Amino acid sequence: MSKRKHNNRTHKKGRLLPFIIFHRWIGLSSLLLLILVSITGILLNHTEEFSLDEQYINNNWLQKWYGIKMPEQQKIIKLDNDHFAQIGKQIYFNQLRIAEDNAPLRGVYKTNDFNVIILRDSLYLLTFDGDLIEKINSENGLPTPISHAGFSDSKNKQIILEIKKKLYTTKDNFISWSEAKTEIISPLILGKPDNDVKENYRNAYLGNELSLERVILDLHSGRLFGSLGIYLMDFAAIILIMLGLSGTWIWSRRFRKKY
Amino acid sequence: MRHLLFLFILVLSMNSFSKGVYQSNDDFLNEVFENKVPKTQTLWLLGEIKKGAKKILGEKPGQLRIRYWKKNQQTSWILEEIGKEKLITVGLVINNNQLNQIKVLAFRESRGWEVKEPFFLEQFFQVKLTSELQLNRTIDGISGATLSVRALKKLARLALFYHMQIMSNQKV
Repeated sequence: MSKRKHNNRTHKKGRLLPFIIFHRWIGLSSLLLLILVSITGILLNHTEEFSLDEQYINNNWLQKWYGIKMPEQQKIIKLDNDHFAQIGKQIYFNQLRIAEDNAPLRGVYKTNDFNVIILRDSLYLLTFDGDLIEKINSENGLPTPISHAGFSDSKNKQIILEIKKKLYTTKDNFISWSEAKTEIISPLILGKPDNDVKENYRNAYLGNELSLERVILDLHSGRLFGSLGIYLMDFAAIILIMLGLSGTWIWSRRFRKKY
Repeated sequence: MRHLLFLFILVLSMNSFSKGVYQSNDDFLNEVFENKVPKTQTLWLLGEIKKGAKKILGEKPGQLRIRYWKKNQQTSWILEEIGKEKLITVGLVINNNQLNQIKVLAFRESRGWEVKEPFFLEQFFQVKLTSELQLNRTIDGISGATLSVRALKKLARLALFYHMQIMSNQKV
């Protein structure tokens, strides 16, 4: 090899070297972020398969970070050995989440066949195991808004609902409603819960607020670390573009030199 | 520029007008039964009926008691199913084990409202249920409304299945 040719090659290699070092260091410095974005991206692509939206994180630190706390609207009612609750907009039966409903809880009672939860705008009929039999609201014939609920007498427990100062009752298992000719004689008897039950409901509520999908999504976008995290992920994306461009450029220079 | 702005507003307004309640449950039933709505009856999803409903829905049915209205061999159902995130309310009429009418009564999702259009719903006319609890005819989808289309197909299968249960119980 002639001395001139050798000098030429060393000169060209020397010109490429800063780009190779640049390419290497931006690759290494952004590796962790790129791995994070890639793994969270794969998980989010398969949200349904991994049931990410059905899994919840019950971690005090993360709940505080997200500002998740117990809502002011809390009502827990004890009836026989069962507890019914409305915490925020969540309706519970023995800590089992039944539905989301914002309307205020008016009371609960039991018929011979099922449990009944009465809210301002709807009734929830449940089996004694907590399975939903039917949600009844104005769309299927329930007069609303319910202001009070009680019984026409304490023995037969015929339910009476007060709606816009009129009284209504049902004679066919909550399918249709007609004006009642009696008054509310006996109110619904609602017991207060024990302290340990309150703590259980606190866990039931907080443990079902933060889904795994939300945390992974926020990790992916960087939002989990606030506005700084978003810029960090933007930086990772720019680095990825630069890596691609610098890699292609170095490869093209080497390719041209080889052939 | 002005045309572009007009187009943008038109697209936005189409989206907001397309979701909502199109017809109340009562109006639908009055239309089906020509203002002589029969007494409400209920079907309990227990045993084999619950299993069939679970097979169609792919999960446990959301409630155990379903209301229906029956006149001679015709039954009418108002059923709900989630499209992507919110419930779609659909009115269905079954006669002689065939779907005679399907109508979207309320659509609450922000996308997929095209399923309320007659060009899509006409495909369900006189569709039947196979022994595998599938529709006996292919229903063409709508791009951008995949989940809403899937929800409507499930509700059509459910109503046909429930109707068959009512009619078979009546024969016994």
